[in-house]
Amino acid sequence: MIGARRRLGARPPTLLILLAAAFAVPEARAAPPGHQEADTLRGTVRAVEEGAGVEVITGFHLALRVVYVRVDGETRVTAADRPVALAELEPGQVVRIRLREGVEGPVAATIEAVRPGDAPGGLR
Amino acid sequence: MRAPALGALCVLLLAACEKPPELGEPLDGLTEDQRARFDEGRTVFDSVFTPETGLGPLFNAEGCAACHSAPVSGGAGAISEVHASALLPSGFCDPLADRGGPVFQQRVTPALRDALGIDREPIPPAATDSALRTTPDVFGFGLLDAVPDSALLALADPDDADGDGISGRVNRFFDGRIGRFGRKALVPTLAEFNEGAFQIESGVTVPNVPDEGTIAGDPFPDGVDPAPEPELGEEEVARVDAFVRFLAPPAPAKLGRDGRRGERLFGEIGCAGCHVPSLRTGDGPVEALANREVAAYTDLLLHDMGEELADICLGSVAGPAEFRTEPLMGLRHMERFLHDGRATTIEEATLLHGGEARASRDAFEALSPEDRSALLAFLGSL
Repeated sequence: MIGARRRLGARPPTLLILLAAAFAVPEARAAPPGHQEADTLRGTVRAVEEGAGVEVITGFHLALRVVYVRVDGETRVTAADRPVALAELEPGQVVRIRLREGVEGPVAATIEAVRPGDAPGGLR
Repeated sequence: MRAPALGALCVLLLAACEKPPELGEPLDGLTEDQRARFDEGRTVFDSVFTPETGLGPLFNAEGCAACHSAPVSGGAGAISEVHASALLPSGFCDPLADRGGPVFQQRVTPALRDALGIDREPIPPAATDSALRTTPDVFGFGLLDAVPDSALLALADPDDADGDGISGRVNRFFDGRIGRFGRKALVPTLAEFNEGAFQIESGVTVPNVPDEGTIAGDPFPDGVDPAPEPELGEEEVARVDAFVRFLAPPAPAKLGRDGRRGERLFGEIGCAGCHVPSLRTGDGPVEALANREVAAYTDLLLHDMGEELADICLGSVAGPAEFRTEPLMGLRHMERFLHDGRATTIEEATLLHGGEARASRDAFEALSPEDRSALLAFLGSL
C-alpha cells in the first residue's frame, strides 16, 4: 500500500492537483465568493499515511483514478460526527473530503467518513 | 350510442394490435425532439474513431458499434475485454486504479506500438485475478436506469432474512452511491456508463474523463495522442446518451403452450427469485421512461454465484463470486452467455449457475425432458 503511494507521490505535484481538480465534485462552486473551501471530493480510501495524507479512489464509470490528498494540522477528520484520528480510516472507507487551498496546493480541510446511504444525492 | 361504442372498440382493438418497437428502434411515446436526439445519437454510436479523432492510444474498439452491433446497433458483440483487480488479505478490493485498472485495454494505436513496442496494456503483477467480460446489449437500459434505488433496496436481502437461500445486495460505487450497471453492478447511472465507456473502451476522452489515464501506471510517451482533450464534446456525449437511453427493450416473442408452461416453471423452481420478471420505473422527466413496467428479469443486485464462476472483486461490496443478476430481456438474440461468454447455449449457462442459484440449478437438472424443454422455450422467447 505504502509502496503504491510512493509511486504516485513521485509524480509531479501538478499532476496530483490536476487530478484532484478533475474529479472534485463541483457542488461547492455555489459557495459564497471568497470562500476558501473550493471543492469537495468523494471516494474510497485506498491508503492512509498518518500525518501526511490519504489516497482516495475516485473516478467515472471504470475510468478510475487515485488521488493523493494532503492533510495538515488543521485538517478535521470525523466519523459519525465524532472526531477521529486519520489513522482510524481504513481502506474501503467512503469519505467526503472538503479541500481548501494550502500554501503548497490543495489540502484537506475536512475528511468525513460516509455511511452507506449517505451517498451524494441520497436515494433516487 | 352505437357509433361511439363501435369507435371505442376499434380504438381498443388497434391499441391491442399495436406492434412493439422492433429491435434497435426507440421506445414508444418519445417526443419529436427526443426521437431526433435518438437518431442523432445513433450516428455518433455508429461512428468509427481514428487516432486523429481521439481513438486510443489504448483502446478495445474503434467505436460503440464496433462491439455493440449484433444483430443491430445497441446489441451484443463478439469482443471480450479484460478486467483485473487485487483482493488484499485485509479484504480490501483494490481496482488498481493507479496502475491502469480495472480495465486493461487489449489494443494500441500504431503510434503507441511504435513508441513502446506493446500490443496491449499489461496487467500489473499486483493483480490477484483477471477476468474476461463479454459485450452486453444495451437495449432497455434507459428503463433500468429509471428504476428507483428504493426498488433495489426493497428487493435486497443481504442477510437472507427470509431464509430462501438468496441474499441479494447492492454494490456501491467508490463514492458510496448504489451501483447497477456492469456485471458487478458498480456503475450508478446510465449517463456515467455511456460517457465513461468512450474513454475506457475507445480511449476517447470526454468532459467527465478528460485524461487518458496511464499505461499500467506509466505515463503515455509524448506524441502518441494527436487529438486535444476532451476528444468528444458534451453535445456528442449527450446524443449518444439519448440513443442508448431511448432504445426500446426487446419485445419477447409470443409464447406457445410449452413456453407458457416454461414461464410457470421459471417461477416454480426459483429462477424468478433473482431474475425478477418485472421492475417498475419511477417518476422522471421523460414520459416514455416514467412509471413503466420493464420485463427485465433482473433485480440488479449482487448474488454469490459460486466458486466456479468467480473471477475478480470490484468495488467495496462485490467479491470474486458475486455478480449482478444478468437481465434476460433480449436473451434470444445472444450467442454467448454468462459474464465471460463461457457458455454457448442457454441450457449450458443455466447448468453453470452455482452459489445462491444452486438450488434452482439442481431443480432445473431434475426436470423431466419435457419440462426442461418447456423452460428453455420460455427463456428462448425473451
